[in-house]
Amino acid sequence: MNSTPYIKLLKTPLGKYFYDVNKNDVVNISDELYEYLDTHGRNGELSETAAEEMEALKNNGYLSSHRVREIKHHLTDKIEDYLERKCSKLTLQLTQNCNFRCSYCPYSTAEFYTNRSHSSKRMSEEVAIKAIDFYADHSYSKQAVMIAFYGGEPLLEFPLIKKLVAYAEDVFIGKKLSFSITTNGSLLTEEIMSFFEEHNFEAVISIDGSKKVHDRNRKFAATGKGTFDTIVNNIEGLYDAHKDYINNKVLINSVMDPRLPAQEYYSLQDKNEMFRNVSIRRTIVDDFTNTGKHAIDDSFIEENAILAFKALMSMINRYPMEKADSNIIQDELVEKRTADTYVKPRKEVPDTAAPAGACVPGSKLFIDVDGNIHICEKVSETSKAFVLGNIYDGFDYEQIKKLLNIGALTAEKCRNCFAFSLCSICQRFCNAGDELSAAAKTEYCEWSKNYALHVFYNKIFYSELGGMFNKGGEV
Amino acid sequence: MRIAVYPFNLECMAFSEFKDLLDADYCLSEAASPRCWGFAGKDIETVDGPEKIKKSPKEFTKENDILLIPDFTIEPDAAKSLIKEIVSYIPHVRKVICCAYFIDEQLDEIKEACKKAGAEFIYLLDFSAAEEEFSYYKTAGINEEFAIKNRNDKVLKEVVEINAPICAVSGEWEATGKFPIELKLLRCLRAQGYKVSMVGSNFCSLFFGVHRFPDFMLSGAVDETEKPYVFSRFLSQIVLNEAPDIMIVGVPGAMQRFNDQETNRFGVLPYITFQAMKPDYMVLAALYRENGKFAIEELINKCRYCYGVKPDTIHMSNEELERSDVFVDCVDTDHVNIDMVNSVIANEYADADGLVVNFMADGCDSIVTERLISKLSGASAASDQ
Repeated sequence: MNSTPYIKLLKTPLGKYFYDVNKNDVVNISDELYEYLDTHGRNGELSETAAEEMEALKNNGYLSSHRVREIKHHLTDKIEDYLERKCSKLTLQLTQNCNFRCSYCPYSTAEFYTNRSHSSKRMSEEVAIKAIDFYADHSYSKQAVMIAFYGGEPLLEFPLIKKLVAYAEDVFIGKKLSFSITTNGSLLTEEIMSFFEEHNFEAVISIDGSKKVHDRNRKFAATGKGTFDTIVNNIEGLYDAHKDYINNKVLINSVMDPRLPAQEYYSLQDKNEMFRNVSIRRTIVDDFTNTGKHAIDDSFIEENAILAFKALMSMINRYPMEKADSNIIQDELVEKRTADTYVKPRKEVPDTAAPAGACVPGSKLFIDVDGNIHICEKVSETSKAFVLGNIYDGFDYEQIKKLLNIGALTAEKCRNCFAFSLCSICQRFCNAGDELSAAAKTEYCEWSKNYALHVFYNKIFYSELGGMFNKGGEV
Repeated sequence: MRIAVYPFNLECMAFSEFKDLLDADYCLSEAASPRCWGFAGKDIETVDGPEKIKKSPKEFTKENDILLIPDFTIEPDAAKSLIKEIVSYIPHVRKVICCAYFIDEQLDEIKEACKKAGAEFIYLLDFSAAEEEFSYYKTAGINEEFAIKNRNDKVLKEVVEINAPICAVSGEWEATGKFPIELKLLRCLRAQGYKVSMVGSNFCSLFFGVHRFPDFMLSGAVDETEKPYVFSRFLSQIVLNEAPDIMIVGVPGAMQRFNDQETNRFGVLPYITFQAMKPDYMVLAALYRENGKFAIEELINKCRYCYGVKPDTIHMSNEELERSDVFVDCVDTDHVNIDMVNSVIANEYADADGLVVNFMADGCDSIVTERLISKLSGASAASDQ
């Protein structure tokens, strides 16, 4: 039994703090109490004031040594009922084919991944219809439902998409139905854009940044040439007729390769006025962020940090707002919201619980071309560990329970980890061939702990700055 | 009159389950519900015997008098496709009764379709007559001359005594099963020969020959502080007119706010209702909880602080608040398997002396009815002495 307080000590130039795992709260404390907790009281007794401070905290439930007794997800015994009515999203892999070969794409003969490959396999209409029916029968309690079209390149199957949208609109009567598509943008036409607009599609189009960095990684399969000009010309040609739609419902997805200059990823909006009002989501190639298998250039980190700093300064009128990247400002506001949402006081960690991070398998249905159900589009569909059943025979609940409880793979580590409630390790990080592996999972622990610390320090950062950011950037 | 229901939802199960209690003027004829709502294909009891719930009103085959649009909340975007289905069936009925909230534009579409088809349209969320109803009950039971003379006098601002025992049924949260509890109690008490009056918490009450919760209590046009006086007169009038042995009062709405965003209307309506009456027996329909001792204490305290009464029976529903990754309750609810509810009641609440029950379990309604009668008999015996 671990009798030490279940906390993580934190400090900034302005103050000393601890994050209390049981209370899920960050607390500002005196230097003396910090020192005492840091040394486990080895350097002598506390002064009367600091002792009172500690007593008051203990009386309010802080500094408790209580730990989770059993690592078990709270939905484990209720999962059948849950998935009967709470599936929130259906993603259809319409095809495994793509007209691009991107170096970081898991399906391509990739620099980073080798576990999936493009093929000419496509989803039949029968499988797609059955998948929609399956979703309709497992989302009774959801008022809003979403169907996502995914590939390969899903627009290679546009005639099928049209049929499926018509079918879904007929099935989901009395629900808020929306669609999304992840496309490389090379096949966009007036007909397709009008269809998206008419049927409430959210379109995610992949453009990495400048032509230089985009064409470095995103190439046509047939010619090996860069794809930037084709996509941008397509959007330019459609912009005037669909301006409002593009500004509000199109999201540009930018995948950053940290071996290339960061500035190049932020230049899309500078060079193309058309993209000024479009939302851009930037992510770094997974393998760089999570495992440390590929080192990120210091210059890449510095450049990003400077851009983030400028965005923060612009939010408190210390830097011209128009010179800061609006998407980074949005990212910073999201960071603040994340800290407020996840670091939120509670009574204590329950006796039986699982670390955060793992999603509920089956709540998002990723259906491959053959009708197998996978946990999400991010996992490899070649791994048996992530197959949750199929649309004909239903869910494999035993497998789902295993995936729901990846915390049990590393139970002892998890129940003493300060990042218990902010863990970011999801099922896909536990992949070792066709099995779930504690060793594979543990590789990501440091990354996950660093993320938790990042959230705690954000919480402190905004708290130390007082109410300056509370108006959502309008200071 | 034959009722066709669309879109059939959980609230409408009462028509099937309590078919025997329906007013002689009404019967359930057919029902349909969108496939993705989870009711299509399920069995219900209609006037013509057991039938399957259909997917669309287009599949209705019988001659029906009324199209009932039951109580549900839905976003306007989601309602669009439903309205199309509803409007397509309106030419086949003489009357449309709507308990659901729609935005004006969508409501107008239904009204227009009724007008074209020559069908009467009754909207139960139209509280335009609430002030008139309020004025009527404000002086109900008071000599008219006296009332006019004392219009502004203290006597109009008094909660009046209700001369019948009251069993209140209130809910901690929406959809915890208040209305079926009210109807189960009604059935059991009637079966024992008691004369029962009832004010139902659900709009569907009017089909069961019991009183609907009065419009003035739900209307924003009436001064909240005057509602308790007038509601007590409303109840008192029912007692005067019907002379019941017992009155069941179903209280609409949830008990408390959940957080700053999900306020449950701050529990104002049940609070006001409990200011108008002192129930002799109280059933609280609660959310599912596993931690027995703590849960009972919490629920009893909530009731005491919010309503000033202690629950005599707590019905543990199979609705549970969803939990976030950081173990904080979310406003959304999960359904729990009924077997799990029964098992938790048997194990975690075994020491509660029957306080916590699953009202929907076989025979539970009779047990609670016995407790109710026993408590009321004890009370009347004590007052006789």
